[in-house]
Amino acid sequence: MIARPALTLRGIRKSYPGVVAVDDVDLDLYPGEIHALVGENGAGKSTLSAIAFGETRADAGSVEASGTVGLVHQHFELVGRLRVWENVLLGREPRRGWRIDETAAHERVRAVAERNGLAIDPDALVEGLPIGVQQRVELLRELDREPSVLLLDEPTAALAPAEIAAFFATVQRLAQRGTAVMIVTHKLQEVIAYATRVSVMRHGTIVARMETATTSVDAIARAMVGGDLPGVAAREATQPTPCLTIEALCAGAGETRIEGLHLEVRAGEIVGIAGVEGNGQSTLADAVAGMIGYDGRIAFAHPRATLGVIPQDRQREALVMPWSIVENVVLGRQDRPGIRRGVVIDRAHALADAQRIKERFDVRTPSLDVPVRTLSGGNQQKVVVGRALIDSPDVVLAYNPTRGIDVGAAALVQSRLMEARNRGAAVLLISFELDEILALADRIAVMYRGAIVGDFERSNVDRAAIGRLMAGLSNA
Amino acid sequence: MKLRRTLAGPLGAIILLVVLMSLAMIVAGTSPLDGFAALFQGALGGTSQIGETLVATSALLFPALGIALAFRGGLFNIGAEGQLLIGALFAGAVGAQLHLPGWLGMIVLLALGALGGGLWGAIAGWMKARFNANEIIATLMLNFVAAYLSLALVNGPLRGPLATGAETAWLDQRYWLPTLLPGSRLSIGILVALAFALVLYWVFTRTVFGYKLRAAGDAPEAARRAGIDIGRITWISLALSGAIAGVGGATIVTGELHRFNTQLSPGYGFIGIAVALVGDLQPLWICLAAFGFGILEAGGLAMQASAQVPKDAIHVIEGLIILVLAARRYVAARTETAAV
Amino acid sequence: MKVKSLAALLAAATSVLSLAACGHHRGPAPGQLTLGMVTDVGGLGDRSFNDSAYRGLLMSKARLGAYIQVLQSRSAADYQPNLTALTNLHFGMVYAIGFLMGLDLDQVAKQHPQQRYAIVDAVIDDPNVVSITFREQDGSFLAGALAAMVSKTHHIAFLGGQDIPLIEKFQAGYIAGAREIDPTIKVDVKYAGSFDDVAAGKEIANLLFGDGADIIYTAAGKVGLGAIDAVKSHDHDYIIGVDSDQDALAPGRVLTSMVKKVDVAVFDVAKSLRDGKPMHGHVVFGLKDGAIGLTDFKYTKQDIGAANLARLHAIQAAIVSGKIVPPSTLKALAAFRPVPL
Repeated sequence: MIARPALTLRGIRKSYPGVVAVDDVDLDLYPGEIHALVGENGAGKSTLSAIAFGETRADAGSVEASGTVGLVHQHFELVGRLRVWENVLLGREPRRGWRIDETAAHERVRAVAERNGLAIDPDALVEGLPIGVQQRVELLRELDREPSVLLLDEPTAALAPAEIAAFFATVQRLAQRGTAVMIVTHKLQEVIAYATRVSVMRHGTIVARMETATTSVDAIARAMVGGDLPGVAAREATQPTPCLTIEALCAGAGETRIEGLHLEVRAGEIVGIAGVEGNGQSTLADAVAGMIGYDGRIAFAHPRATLGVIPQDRQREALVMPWSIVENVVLGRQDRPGIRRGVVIDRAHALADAQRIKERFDVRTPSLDVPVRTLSGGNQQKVVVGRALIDSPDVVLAYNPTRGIDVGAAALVQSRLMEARNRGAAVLLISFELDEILALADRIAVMYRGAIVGDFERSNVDRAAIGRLMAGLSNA
Repeated sequence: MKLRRTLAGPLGAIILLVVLMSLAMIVAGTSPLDGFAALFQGALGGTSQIGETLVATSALLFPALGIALAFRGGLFNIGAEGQLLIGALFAGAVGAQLHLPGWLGMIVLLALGALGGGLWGAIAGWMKARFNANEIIATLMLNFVAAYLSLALVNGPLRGPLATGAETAWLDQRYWLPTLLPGSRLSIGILVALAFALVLYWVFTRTVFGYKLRAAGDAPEAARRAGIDIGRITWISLALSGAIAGVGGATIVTGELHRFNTQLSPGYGFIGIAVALVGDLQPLWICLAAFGFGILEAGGLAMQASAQVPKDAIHVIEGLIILVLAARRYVAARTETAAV
Repeated sequence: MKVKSLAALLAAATSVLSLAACGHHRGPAPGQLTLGMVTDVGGLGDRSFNDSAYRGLLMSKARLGAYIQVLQSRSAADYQPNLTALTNLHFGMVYAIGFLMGLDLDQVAKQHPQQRYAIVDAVIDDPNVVSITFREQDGSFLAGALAAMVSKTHHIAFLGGQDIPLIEKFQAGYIAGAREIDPTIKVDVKYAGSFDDVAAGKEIANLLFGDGADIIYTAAGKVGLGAIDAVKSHDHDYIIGVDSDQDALAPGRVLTSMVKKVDVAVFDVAKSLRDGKPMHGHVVFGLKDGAIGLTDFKYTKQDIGAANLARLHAIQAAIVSGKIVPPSTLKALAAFRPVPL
């Protein structure tokens, strides 16, 4: 490429107490390219993109941009109680006198959405929207500013397969119009499929720069981990016996309502729920976890059966972010014998548990006393999964257990789930990533509009048929 | 680094306090040097002075500890004033009619204080848990109910025969808490307060209840999913919060005033919010903060008496600091929950 | 950043402090007579005995060169802290104004045996407390006699604050004085149940006037101010004020005031301290000390008439000489018989 770079980073260095997050990185982004930035959790990707966006100041080095830089966060920064158009134009509302010109605002949001092929209702309240749609709002907000450089942090982590294709179509259109796009991601298939170039980060430096046309998922992954990938634990033979039975389940309301759902999960097997987000998966998970009321029957094989839950939103539903790892390891287990001794918490026990999780899950942290807020997403998720599995529960409920975490951490989490199955746990795996379900599940149930619309044994899986069922085409 | 961050708030508050008080003194026509000399002399210049400071410390420590307990559970209890008053009312009303051995009577009266304040807190907690009423509004409004209820009762059936204001009769001398510091008004009430601080420290750091409380406060959704009954935690923590403030009210009655008066608190329940926040909601730091505010209370009166700076100036300034600290904390909590 | 701004604030604070350090010092001079006073809930501006006591303090300042300081109490809960605060500043004498403070002063006085206190209207049995009381029944006797002379309806009234021994002295003396002049006179007695409910005072006064009483003697603190407000719209009725000279509050309608010169007592106590012979124990002030008496009838001389005034003087002389002993309790009142002069 001969064009002048839209964004130039030179000699960027940034350290936090005890860690060098980014160490002497050079990077150029050219107009019209889709540049993937990959690396394991903690490799420095987020810090680098925050520096590029101007959110974080580098200790050393220079950042030069030819125009505005937009950033779409992995964790959305939307105001739930405002409407879509209000969020998109927040702070830049068209005015008529001292009032907001609502007509013009609607028109502008509609136009930006149309131009970029993003379908959205400008009047919807953001808090009621599925995550995938919320992301479109976030994206629209940046696109409205016509950025010359667009940074996307894990943009597809929350999207269904069909949405992912549409999303990349949008991104490619943007690139063709001359925007420089940088995607921070873990999904290497997407990198190969849609990006033009890829930079791999490890321990704060860029260790490889490749053209996607001449590389492979394997090569990128090896560069990321600095060697061969850890494999997922082997599937062992088990004797499945009924463990969790769901009959005629009705729960929830609106689009995510479940109506007459039947499902059986047996000990020693993983049942994967495939489906596009927003088809009642969270309602199913909440009902099984006992978080909402329901009609019908959810029965465990024995009355004292224990349940380990990996919630979908680790930061809000699973962890107390300002607390230490040790304290978080107690959460949800505070009344269990062993942890609870009379009216007090047995701290030695909690510390031993945390130590065990740290070792078994390779949680990378300077100490078990640091707030989980300071851990990378992958390490946070390892704590959550470790806690869910530490008491060897009879039933495991895993909701997108590897969302937004790097390949190494994901492989580890998947291995532990497989091991739980191998020792005889009944695992209910709800995931929006079909690949994950295909890799782990013994049986696959497809969920669409609050019901199970298809059922596949591992031995006769038909990926195309599953895809059609997920999209609501019933004559599979 | 971390120390600097934790100290920045309270330290900033202290500096702000010094600057504002200096201005108030200048406005009142007194040199700040004289003013502060009078303040510290009046607060720490002798046994009786230290006694007065510790009397105020004790009066502030109870509501501040109660407030801290509620705040740690994510509940903005600003009703400590009313809870303290009702606790004092229970102790004063019953104390005037009691026929028990002295030591037993004292324990009964403090327990009654806990009961009264706890009841007042529990009402707000029940309203929140049952009807999802905003606890800020519920506790605030209950302050007024407490004030008018106690006024009506003490002007009516509970009025002491010789009382000229809204007061009950005096307690029999055998129920007066023993003096801790001879030559001062300081009773052993402050030891009760310090014991509460230690117990609370233990509750927060060691117990399952404290753990659940903090979880409910720091991450309500994660706490709910961890099987913690948020509604139960809500009313229990508000009841306990009120009970601690109520014991404070009872110690004022049995320790210093020896009868109930509707005006017995010059706003301890509100200043207690500042004490709790300056103490970073940590019981042991709160003891230190209460001592600081006790110096202001006792020294402020001495300053008024010797340097003609109205004590109210100090209350105005304290109010400003409460506002700044509370707003900061509330905004921080709001933005954290909003960033979903 | 944070630390820098803190440092800036600190610097600002220090400069403010040093700039302002040139302000003048207002504390007492070494060796100066120092007098502190704690008002009761009536506070300064009650136009009654808190104000009267304060006048005594001002008198001490003017004539004895005393350094004075007043702490006002907003509620009874302030008494102990206020008394202790003045104690801690080592005032030569700390005055507690009003019997309301009796039990609180007793407690504080026991905690500080080295400090001198004076209390008005109560008797506290502590060696370091001077108890100042007045023979209110003497002045009230004169007020009752005058009321009986002036009343056209042979029907007068008494409005008390609260039914307590102190006010009983006013009531007994007043009724006895009225009977001295007119043994069959009707005297209505009402209590407001408070010393500060001005509205109640006005209401009760209107009620008493409506029942036919044409003169009301108020012994009720601020409640009396309500009664004085009421009499402004009654052209033929009178109020007799109390404690301070209240004649000017409704000129011509306040017949006289039974003045209790707390200022005289406060000054005398201060003077005894200055002279090195401090009063102690229970000190009673009466007619002969000039601490109790009626006003000089500035607005009402015409209404009363010279003959009545002469008669009043005779009664006063009889009380001073001991020929008449006004009763101080209702029990003593029952035994009281008019003394022929």
